[in-house]
Amino acid sequence: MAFASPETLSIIGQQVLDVALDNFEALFETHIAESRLSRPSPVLRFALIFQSNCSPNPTPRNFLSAYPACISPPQEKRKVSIVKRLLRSTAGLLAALAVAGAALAQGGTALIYTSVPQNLIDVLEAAFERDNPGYQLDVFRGGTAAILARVSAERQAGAIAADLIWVADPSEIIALKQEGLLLEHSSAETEALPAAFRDPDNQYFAGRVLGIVIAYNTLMVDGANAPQGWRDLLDPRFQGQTGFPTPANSGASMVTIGALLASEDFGEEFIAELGANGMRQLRNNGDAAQMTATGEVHASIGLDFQIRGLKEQGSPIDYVYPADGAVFIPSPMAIFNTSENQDAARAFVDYILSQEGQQVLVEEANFIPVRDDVTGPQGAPAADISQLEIDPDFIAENRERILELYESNISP
Amino acid sequence: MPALFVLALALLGVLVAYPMLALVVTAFTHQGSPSLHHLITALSQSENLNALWNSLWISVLATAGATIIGTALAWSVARTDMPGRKVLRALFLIPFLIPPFIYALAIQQLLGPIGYLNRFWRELAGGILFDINSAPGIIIVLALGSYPFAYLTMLTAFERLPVELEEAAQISGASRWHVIRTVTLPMLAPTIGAGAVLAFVASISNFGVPAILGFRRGIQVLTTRIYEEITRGVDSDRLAVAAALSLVLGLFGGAGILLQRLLSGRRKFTLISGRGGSGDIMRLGPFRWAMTSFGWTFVILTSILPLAAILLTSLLQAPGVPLSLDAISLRWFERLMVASPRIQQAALNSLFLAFFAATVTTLVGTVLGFLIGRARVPGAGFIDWLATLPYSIPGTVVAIAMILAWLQPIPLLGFSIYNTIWILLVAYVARYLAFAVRGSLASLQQIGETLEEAARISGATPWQSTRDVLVPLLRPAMRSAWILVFIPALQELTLSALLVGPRSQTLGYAVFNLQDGGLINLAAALSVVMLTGLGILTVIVGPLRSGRPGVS
Repeated sequence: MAFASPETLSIIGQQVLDVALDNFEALFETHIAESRLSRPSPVLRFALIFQSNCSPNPTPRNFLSAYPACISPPQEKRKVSIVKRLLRSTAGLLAALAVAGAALAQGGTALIYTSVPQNLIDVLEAAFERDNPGYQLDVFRGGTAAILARVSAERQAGAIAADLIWVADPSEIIALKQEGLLLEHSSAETEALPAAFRDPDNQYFAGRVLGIVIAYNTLMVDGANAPQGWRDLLDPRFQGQTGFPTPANSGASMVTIGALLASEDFGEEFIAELGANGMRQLRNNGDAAQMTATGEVHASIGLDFQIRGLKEQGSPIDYVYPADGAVFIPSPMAIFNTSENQDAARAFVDYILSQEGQQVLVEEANFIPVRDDVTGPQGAPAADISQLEIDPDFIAENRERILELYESNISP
Repeated sequence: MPALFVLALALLGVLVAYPMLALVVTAFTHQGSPSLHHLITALSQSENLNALWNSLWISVLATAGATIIGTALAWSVARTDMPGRKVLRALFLIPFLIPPFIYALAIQQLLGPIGYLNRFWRELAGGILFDINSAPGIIIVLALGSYPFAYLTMLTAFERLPVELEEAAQISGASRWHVIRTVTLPMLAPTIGAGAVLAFVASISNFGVPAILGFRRGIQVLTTRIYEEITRGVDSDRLAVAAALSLVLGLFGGAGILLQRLLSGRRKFTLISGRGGSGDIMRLGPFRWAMTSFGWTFVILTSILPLAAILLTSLLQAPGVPLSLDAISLRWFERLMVASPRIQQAALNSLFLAFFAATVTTLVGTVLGFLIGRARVPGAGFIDWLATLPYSIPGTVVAIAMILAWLQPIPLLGFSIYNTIWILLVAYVARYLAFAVRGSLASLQQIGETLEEAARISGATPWQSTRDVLVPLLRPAMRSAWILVFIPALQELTLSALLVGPRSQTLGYAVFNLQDGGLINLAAALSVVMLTGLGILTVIVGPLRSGRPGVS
């Protein structure tokens, strides 16, 4: 019956189910009559789930618990009407929900829209709630692009549901700021941030630093052949074996391609060369990491923390920060000024920016911290690594061009 | 009682008529005047045309596959002396019990580029056996998912086909092949057609399978194209284009249903002409064992291996680890239980939605069924059509209609239900209303009016006679309608994918979202939990889902 679920079973009424029912009935009757089994096989029991409980051939009681109801018509047995019982249970459930709702309303609950992977934001949520009694976090996770589409949809529908937003691409948050949607927030924790990691007007703050890495599968690529920088991806040994998450979904990819595009060393031709060496479009960073871990692609552009996480779990995967131009993205978080749960939202921002919060980020999620007084995770890059510059204005202006460049060069 | 009728009709209007109207109006209005602008815009974008073309040829081929598989399997269990056919007969239905997107995920574990079978093959022969992330892969999974439609309809046909005609032909000296060609096949044609149409509609409506197997290779069909359009934003232009596209999708779904109605009408005629018994059993002789092994191989390949594969993935310690006993761990299940508040919330949401959708549809559907089948109000035919419409068209179309109807704040109330669990509930109720209406109609047809008349003669008011006579008799039908809605609603994906809000994620969406984000092992673990739960649920409530009225 599950395949009779909405996706597949677009049919008029119950026709097929009726057919199914008739069949199971027939099957059931013949089987019982012929096989003289005292107890039907598990296989048959599987089929029996569709069986009418009023079959003319009596069935053993031990598995069809509803069967006795058939011998005496149900309407004689049960005095309480099904309508009443349904209403009664409905009322019970509503009451339970009301109680639960009231319990939730007592503490402050902030809703965050974020591109932080589900497993990691779950951990951060637990840590936040543990260390900030009374406050709770609700999470909606999606790619940067999906999150921003949702925010724009909600503005259309009347109100932004989220209190907070935390995505990968700083230029998107700057756009929200320019539209006057963000709340100013200032506290001891925001003051402790290096200037590079916060908005001069205190409207957004980097909660983590995303390092863009080249991830590779260690079973497919041995250490000697491991890529060291961007240009290694043009090597024939990686022909058709690499992937790049699409900037249509990933804010990190948008920023990375923007940085490559703006750089004198790379530029448009480099993207074309990547495409010419058979680099593939991948859905998003999570999928890219998974596909690299399983060897479906040999190497991919990825997010450092995600690859570190997989490596820790035991996946055959490793990574390098490209030596010819590493990309580090301060991943911004901000509070919407329409937020009705500002206390909880501010508490979450402060927690993430605090020393203990950053410690949790490093330990549980492998992020590069934004505070100088927190040590980065194992495998974090050397401070003197050569970097590509990130210019949010350039990205904001060139978003369409970046997408077009990617889609025309990197094959699906 | 009139108040009840008015309420049910009002709900039908608000939940079904208004959204559907909003969909049609949006699709055909441009800048305030009737226009084909959006339809033309939608169909002039090459990606949309491409998606339409993909939808069509993929569904046609999947249908052909489903029909052939379903017919062959039905024939083997109904018309041959294949050993073990009674067991196989039930086993052939396993794909019917697995939600399609989970089935896709499971088969992907076997035949993805690094799936278990492909890896095995690489060891043996090098290269890969087959890549399921491809158009042929989508076709195969859709065909395997929808062959039960053909299988079930054909089973009935094979068993109830009048034998006399075949016998008459044989007695007149026709060869076996000649009988099959000139008697059996022509008689079966309408049934085969009906099964094929059901499989076609199921395939073209499917969202989960092409989304899971097609996105990686950029293969878009209409349902995934509409999904992409909506997840990239719901400004009015995108919505209008999505509305136009869903109308195109609905057209093909709807055409399928029309055809199906025609065919099933004719088929009934054929079947009722004689219930000739079990038909002509073909003696396969030495081939009977070959046939059985073929049947078992089919079950193992299409049901047991995919289920084993998804279980194995859920037990693997990390993606990509070489298979060994050391790599087996329960960490993903542990994570589900202890560190996944969102998934636990999704489970609660799905339970909430399934419970209320089932309850509301059962109550409203029974009242509507009464209005159509017993009170025979004017326009009963239209009410029936309207109530079954959301189930006759692809779920994607229903979801778009709901967004169009409910995106803006509701007048007077001043808030929008878009983005909340309520829009999902509204959509589920509209979608599944058909089950309850049809169930109560079928049941009413079998309950004579004499019982109520007797009550009336004995002095009961119309309300009393309904309450004390009719409602108790309808109870089994209501119970079965409730379960018929509850189980699919629990695992719903198509509507959810388009309508989930930040706090209203559902189980189906959770699986989809996890696999989309690359957390395949966790997605597999959740799938295993869902399949186990559904299995247990089906076994517990299954016996209750009799559609028969309680008259003996």
